[in-house]
Amino acid sequence: MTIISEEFDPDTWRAFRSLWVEERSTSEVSQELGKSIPWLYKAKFLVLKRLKEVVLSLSADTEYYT
Amino acid sequence: MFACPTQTELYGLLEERLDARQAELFSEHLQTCPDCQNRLSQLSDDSELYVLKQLSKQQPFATTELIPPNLAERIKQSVQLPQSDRGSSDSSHPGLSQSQLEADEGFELQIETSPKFKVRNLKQYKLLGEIGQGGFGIVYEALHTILGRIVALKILSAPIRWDQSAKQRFSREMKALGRLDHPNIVRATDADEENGVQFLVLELVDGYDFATILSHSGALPVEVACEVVQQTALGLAYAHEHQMVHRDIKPSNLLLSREGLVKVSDLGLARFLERDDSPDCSPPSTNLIGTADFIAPERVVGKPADIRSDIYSLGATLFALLVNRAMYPSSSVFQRLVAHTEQPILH
Repeated sequence: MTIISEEFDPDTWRAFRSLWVEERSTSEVSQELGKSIPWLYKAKFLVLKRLKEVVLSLSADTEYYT
Repeated sequence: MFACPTQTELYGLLEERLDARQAELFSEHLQTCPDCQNRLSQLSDDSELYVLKQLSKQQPFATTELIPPNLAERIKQSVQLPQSDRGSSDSSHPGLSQSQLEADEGFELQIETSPKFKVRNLKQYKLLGEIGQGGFGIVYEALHTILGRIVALKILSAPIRWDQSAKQRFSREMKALGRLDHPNIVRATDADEENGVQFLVLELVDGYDFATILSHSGALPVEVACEVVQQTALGLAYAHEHQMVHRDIKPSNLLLSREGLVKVSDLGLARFLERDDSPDCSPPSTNLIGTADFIAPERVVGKPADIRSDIYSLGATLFALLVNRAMYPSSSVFQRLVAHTEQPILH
């Protein structure tokens, strides 16, 4: 998580954390960040997609240093 | 009235595959349609990452704070360390007398290489004395002659062919290792070669490995064994965050410093030594390396190692710490290896 957080802009990461980890309501996060609800879900989707890539690479013993 | 988008269209919105006009229309609709919001929420989720989600709810990882000093103290009190034959444990020059430090001559060491020759200095390091032997080579106490700092210097003696490919892999593994900085991992500070002698320079841990501790003081109390494993797991978690798998976790690769810190040693070496000379982008070789009593079952049958292999070996290590014997003792190495794949997990 720490590694990939640096790949995203702060708003995207905060949206992801608020929705997925902290399970806060979209309306609350939308108001806090000043972003639309679809934008929040898109942020969550993009981060999860990247997170899954990392998890799969860690599980598959792929070549790490290419 | 605007029709609700289809699943495909919603997925297209998440993947940013829609044209700008369509995306704008759907976004406006979604802002006020709870049903579509619900569908979008489900589409954007990934149930396979549920476990990770639960872990993420804990506080962000502050690994150094996760080692409670009182527990480290308890390890120090519970584990009886063998008497050091390396003198004092002064933090700057552990184990060395002032006369040794000031001596012009290092210990004359016969290091068997091919061809054989005597080594006293390797680059800027003066060898002072042998500390011990591990699976991957002999470890010496050495003095960095420029900085005046005492380090551990491991000369690799593994039977591999030191061609250009091996040198590149050594360099790559050592670079990865050099990036790691964690209290539960033995820090690597240098790696080099001189006259065909490959060596790795590590922080000198003034203490003993757990194989020595077990043979000296027997099985550990439950809470101490758990603390040892917890600290090891923190080091491994950090290594895994940096895409490194140890592959050879066992008591002799866990060091206990006199401050009560458990440190994982030999990280990166197993991966380096078990690779063959295949090109960089090829899949890892399945040459077997590791200790029969602690090796994960998938490694026995030739499958690649991942995080789970280290976790299994850590479990086998916990067993050894608690009862002071291997999970599947046998005089035959083959039977010990096979037991990991065929015998039930012991409770």
